[in-house]
Amino acid sequence: MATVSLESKTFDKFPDVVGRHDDTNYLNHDHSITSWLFTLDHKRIGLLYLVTITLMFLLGGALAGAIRLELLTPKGDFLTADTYNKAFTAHGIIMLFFFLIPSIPAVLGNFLVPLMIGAKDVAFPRLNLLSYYLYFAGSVIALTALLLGGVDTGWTFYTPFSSTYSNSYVIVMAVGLFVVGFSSILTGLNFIITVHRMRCPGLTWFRLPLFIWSIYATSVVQLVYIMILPSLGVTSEVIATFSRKNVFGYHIIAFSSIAIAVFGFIVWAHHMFTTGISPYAAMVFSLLTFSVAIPSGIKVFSWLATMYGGSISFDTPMIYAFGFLGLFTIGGLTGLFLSTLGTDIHLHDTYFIVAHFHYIMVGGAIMGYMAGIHYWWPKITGKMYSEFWGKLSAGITFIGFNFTFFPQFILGYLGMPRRYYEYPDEFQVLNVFSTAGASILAIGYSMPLFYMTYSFFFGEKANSNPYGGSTLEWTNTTSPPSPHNFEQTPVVTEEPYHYHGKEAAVVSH
Amino acid sequence: MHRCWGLLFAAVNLSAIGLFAIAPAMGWWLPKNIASYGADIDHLFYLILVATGFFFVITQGTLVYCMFRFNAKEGVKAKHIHGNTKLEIIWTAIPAIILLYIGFAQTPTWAKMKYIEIDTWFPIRYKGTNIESDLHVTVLGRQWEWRMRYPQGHIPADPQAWADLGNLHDLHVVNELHVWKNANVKIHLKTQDVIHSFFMPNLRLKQDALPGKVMPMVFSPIEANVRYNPKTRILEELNPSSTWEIACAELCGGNHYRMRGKLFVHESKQDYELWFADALKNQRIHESTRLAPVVASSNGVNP
Repeated sequence: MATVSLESKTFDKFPDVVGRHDDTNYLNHDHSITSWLFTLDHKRIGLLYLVTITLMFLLGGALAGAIRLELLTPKGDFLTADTYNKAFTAHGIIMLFFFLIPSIPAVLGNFLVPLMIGAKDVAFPRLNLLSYYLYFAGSVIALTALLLGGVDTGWTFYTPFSSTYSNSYVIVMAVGLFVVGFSSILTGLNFIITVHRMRCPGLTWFRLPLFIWSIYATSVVQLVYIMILPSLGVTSEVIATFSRKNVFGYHIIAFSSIAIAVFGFIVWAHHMFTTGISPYAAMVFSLLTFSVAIPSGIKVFSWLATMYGGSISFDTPMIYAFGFLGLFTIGGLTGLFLSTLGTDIHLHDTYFIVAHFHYIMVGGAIMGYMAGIHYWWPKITGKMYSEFWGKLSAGITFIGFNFTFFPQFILGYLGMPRRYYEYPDEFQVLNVFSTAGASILAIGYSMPLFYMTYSFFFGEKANSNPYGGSTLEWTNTTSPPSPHNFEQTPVVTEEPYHYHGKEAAVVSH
Repeated sequence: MHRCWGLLFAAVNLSAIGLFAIAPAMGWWLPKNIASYGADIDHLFYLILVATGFFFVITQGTLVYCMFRFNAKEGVKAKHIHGNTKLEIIWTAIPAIILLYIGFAQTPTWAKMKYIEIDTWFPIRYKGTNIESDLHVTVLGRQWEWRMRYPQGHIPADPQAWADLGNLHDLHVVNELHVWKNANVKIHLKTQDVIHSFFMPNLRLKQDALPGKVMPMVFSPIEANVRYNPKTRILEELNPSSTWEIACAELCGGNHYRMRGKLFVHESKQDYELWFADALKNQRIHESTRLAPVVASSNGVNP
């Protein structure tokens, strides 16, 4: 049994319920390059995604750094105006299509969906590999467009600017996005069928972990909300595990994921209040947009109720989940200013909206992704990372994030439009805050690269369930799992997060 | 250890609230409102700020409380709570009621902005429009400037046809929108090339300019910022800090950030007419000497 010695972990040891039969696992059973590049194993495909999207995240982050550096002063001095336009366009495209959309579904989803439902693999392993190569091909095409000279239209590609007036590489980029789109469509299809057809005996719909509900809702609805929905699932898992408590209102959380997905279909015109759509249509879309706040609110309240009366251990994934709760709440609440018609007209296309969606998509989605990566890292790699560095990075990220984006709310309602290369002098103080925060944020995001890489090669061995999770990937597989996941097909006899009555299993020291 | 995290989260949340508390003193608040409907929009903003502030304090307060209170202790187990139907109904119903309230409370403001009349009891039902304009202006966006066109006599005979085709006797001005206090202004917004967005923060107004379409914008400024001096032929600002910006809010190319103009609200219709007469005279002189394009005399031009 592996010993996990961490500075401040309250529960040092959870028993190794699965044990280690031999040392063959999905990572070491074949070391050849081809065994990785042509693997049909969902876990290895998840790792391929992990490496690729991390590289894309670094590129997107570097571009964000260049943008913030340019905005440090009111006058343009670091980049030219054209380069600036290309930088934020590339930042948006890379972060949205090549990082956020695939982040949780393709990395954690690929790794965990079969493990959590007691299956040997996804329904279509070959299609899964194809998805990865479509993603890879799309990335190569998009990077080619950047190397050729980039795109200056913003990631939204509004015509006729993108079709007629721009002299940049719009077509090449569009082809890249077209290809990468099929990757997420096919992955979504794969997950839907896997969840429907491959659940192990006894795993009814309402015994599914909430992460699966979120991934399922994401797969069904391929919309803007796919960037945040998977994070909501990760947060449910992490909060339940580290509070040692079953999730408060399991059914309502599961249904609220579906509700967000369904409402997500019928709110699209809330981006169009300033375009001159019919004022009556705008009123209806405004009301519909308000309705998204209800399931989101239910989730937040349920998570807080889950923690309430819990036995919370402050490990790295939980710190990230706390950060998620803080930032997602601000992001969600500020959405109300934008779904209200009168105020949206003023705030639309200003820094207010930049701050709002970064709170949701960076504050929410990436905090959730980081929580998930830290939570399942021992399962994915079989190694523990340094809790000290993990917590430090979570804290720095939370502070840096607020520092970066909170001032942008103010800049927005003061009237600073987004995508401006130069701005009036009176906005400088807040922009300096924002840029200073971005440099803190950069440190917070870079740290995991180092301690996680270190952990992968030199970290202490993790046991099968270092955090005392209750779902199948913790209770029925080794860390890392064997190539075929389970020794025997598990049989589920109870709901997830069944912590009560199991607390005796905690070994005190 | 858990107390440190609790303190950190409490500190970050408190500083967020604190920033809002000092924002008005720092001049970091909504820009000065000069629109007839603007006060309603600002009230909505405060209403939402209060509602969201309430939920922010409740949720973050609970979070920080949980961090302090429910840290894992040796020998203390988590309470097993499966759910609580009453509680779940309450926290679904209360936000739903508040959202529904804001959803319907906003519609009169929207109707005011759009100059439409709506049913009192079912505020998304249409009852009619109530636009009576004193001044028509055509604004043409192009990479990267705003071209304003003013008719003689303020109101053309056929506004739609005039917006499409214009008139030989129109006054052309670049990047300067001149109106007068309390005028009911109707802008016909067009674009020559890509999508632009005509944004006037002080009027809380923004409208995209779409190729092939003439988009209406209606407003009435309740405050003036300039007076025209016919002797010196310059616009005198009434108050040193009353510069009201026009900005393009939709990415439109390399010089998007330079597509800015100024809004001049004359203190009276007579004052506007003095300016108009001189500007038109000036334009005719330039036309006769074949000097184009024409920029009216004033102190504020595109930076």
